Amino acid sequence: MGRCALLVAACIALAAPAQAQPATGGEAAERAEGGAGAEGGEAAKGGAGTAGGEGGAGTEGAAGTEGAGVEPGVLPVLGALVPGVLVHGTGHRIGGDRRTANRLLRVEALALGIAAAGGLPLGLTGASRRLALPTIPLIVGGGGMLFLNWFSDIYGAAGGPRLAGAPRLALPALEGRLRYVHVYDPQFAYRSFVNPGARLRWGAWHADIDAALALDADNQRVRVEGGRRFHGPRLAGDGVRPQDGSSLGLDTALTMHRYGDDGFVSLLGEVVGRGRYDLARVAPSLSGAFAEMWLGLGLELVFYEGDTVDPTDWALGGFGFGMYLGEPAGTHGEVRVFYDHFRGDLSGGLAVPGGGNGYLGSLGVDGFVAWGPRWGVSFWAEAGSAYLAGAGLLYRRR
Amino acid sequence: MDMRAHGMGSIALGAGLGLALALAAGCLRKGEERALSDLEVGVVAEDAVTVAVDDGLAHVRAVETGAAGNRITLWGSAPAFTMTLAAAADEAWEITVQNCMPDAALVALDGAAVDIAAVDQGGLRPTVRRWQVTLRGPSGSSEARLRVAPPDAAGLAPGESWRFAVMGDIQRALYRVDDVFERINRDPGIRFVASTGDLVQSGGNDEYALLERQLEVLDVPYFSTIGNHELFASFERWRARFGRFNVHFRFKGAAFSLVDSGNASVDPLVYDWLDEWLEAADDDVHFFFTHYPLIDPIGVRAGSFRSSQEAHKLLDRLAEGRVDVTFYGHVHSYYAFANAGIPAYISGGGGAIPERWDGVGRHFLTVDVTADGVQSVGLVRVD
Repeated sequence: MGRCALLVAACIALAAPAQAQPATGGEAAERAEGGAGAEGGEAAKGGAGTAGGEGGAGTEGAAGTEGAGVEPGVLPVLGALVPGVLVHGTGHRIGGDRRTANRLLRVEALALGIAAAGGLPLGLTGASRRLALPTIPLIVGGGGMLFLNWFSDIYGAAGGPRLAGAPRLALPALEGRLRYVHVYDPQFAYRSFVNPGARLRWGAWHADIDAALALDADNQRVRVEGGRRFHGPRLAGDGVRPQDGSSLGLDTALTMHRYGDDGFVSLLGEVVGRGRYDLARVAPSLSGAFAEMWLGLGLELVFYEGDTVDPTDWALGGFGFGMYLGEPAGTHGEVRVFYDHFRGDLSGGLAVPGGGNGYLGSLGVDGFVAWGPRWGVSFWAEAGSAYLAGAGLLYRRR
Repeated sequence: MDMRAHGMGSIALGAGLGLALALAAGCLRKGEERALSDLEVGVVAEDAVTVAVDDGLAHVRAVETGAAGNRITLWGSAPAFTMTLAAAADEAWEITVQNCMPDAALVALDGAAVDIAAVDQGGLRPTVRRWQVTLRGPSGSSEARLRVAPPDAAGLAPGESWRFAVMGDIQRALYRVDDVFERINRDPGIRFVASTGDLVQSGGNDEYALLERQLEVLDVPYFSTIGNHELFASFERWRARFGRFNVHFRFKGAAFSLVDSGNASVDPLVYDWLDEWLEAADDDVHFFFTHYPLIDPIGVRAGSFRSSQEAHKLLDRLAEGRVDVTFYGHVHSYYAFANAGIPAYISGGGGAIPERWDGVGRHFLTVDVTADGVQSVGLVRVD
């Protein structure tokens, strides 16, 4: 499933063949490893593990404005919204950056093609059971590319690089987190969760444990995850010098969620490929921003009180658009908006006006801000068939 | 303007807009309005007459008074229902029930003083029944409890079996669904059709008009909840014609719960009702109908509830309430499986874009019921 993330990265790269690569990989890595920038990332989304919340792009171009061809302003932003939602790159075009505008337009065409390659066969065959598995990743991947591309135009037209920071290029060996999460779901009695978690890294590998324990109901979730990073920032001091925050990895996870008040227990196993692509590689006007995508498969067993078990499989996937904040040596962080196609967790799936329900996952925003090498705060809000909001402390050690 | 502030402002605006859109799109109780409107179905209070149908099991389509006579037109949402009629004594009312069981009779309950005369049924379709009702009383207004039901609605003799049909997802094939209805007519054992919704494609008034014309082909009534396609237009169009979105009735000792999941979720208010229905039918055969499969047997496709956790919670309730069979639509094919140990069927064979390569095509199900429970569920192919 990680192939789709690679595909997205490759598509963007192909759409921007002449773009000079940011020139600071080695320097930035050294700076991060040698200084205070050794803080690691965190699994940004409530322990569900769907966020590739670590690593980072950045490089020295991320925080600067040199070479940005677009002149940001209100008109470019408005143009990026409308008609930019349909004609990607409009914001950059109005801002005077035709080259990036054309690239974004080409990526849009490619994304539409990928989404159509999945959506048309599925729609025309009445959602045939034989086509669901190969087509749904294309729909999520192509649709994700569309949104990420659109957000890129808005970001550049708004002058995002002027606000953005640099990524962390070396990650800590241990990260701990403790959050409070409030959930409003009209179908369930729970409202308050405590959400502790930790991640350990060694070399290219990591292990993660995360729990969500209801304070006001009989509901508990525990998730363990293990994974390997094939490309991108890793543990500080392991000798790897990434060019930027782009990364690619494969994770496996097991989640047990007990709904004691509601009579069932869910056990979910998953394999997910995740990719992050620093958009500075596409254009200087997108420095400091990153696009993420993840795709995978899950198998869920649901145990009911009557000793019956229902198995089901899941197409997992999602995408996020984010930006780095600050410099790793000082106060820094990340913020991201994301879509998660999975509807089997606390957030469930979005309702939309009209009759098109039952197809979407959830939308959210998450991120963190760290004010030193060890301590920081994380935040998270998500809307699906429930509203979730959480915040808490981060702790890191090299 | 400082460019940094400008950039920050623009991004904040974008993020704010995005979050606002997400929250607006994610309104959590999309079905609440429909559930609340269910509570008003079957009740009409006018100067000349008051009609109150128990549990909203018939929708009052029209009340007419004047020189041409007094008329009440109802649309039946169940094989049998009871209502209270209050009107001036000695005044005659013509009561017409559309979507009615062909053998239904109208009787007065509790020894009410009512004159009921059968109106000549000549020219009426089998699913339209008409009676002349005159309330009797000492003076002024009078009130009576009336019941519309087939003679055998209440009981099931030992060894007796009866049959109903299940179908859903007509959508764009509305213009040719008469084929399906004619095939149903060929089975005289079918007492009524229970439907899981998606009777129209986009909810246009012209579609509903065509639906009613097509239903005239059917010799038995058609009881349905809605699907998601009815929600591509105002839900008031459904309500104005057919009444309730969530229906629970009993027939020959079996309970039927047709639950609105048009938004891929069930409103919490309806869950409260469902708890009562499950408790009341604990010892009886109980059939559950809703449009969205709670869990899609092809999991990666996820043609199912918005929240699988809600679906599991509902399944646990249905299993605990000893529901005998669950019926779904939405997926345009036929699937037989089990959820939470309850036999489950997806029947979306009303003619909507069919699932290819499934070897099924347009179809409906027949369900045979005995005093012991569900005898069989059969697949009837139409094409």
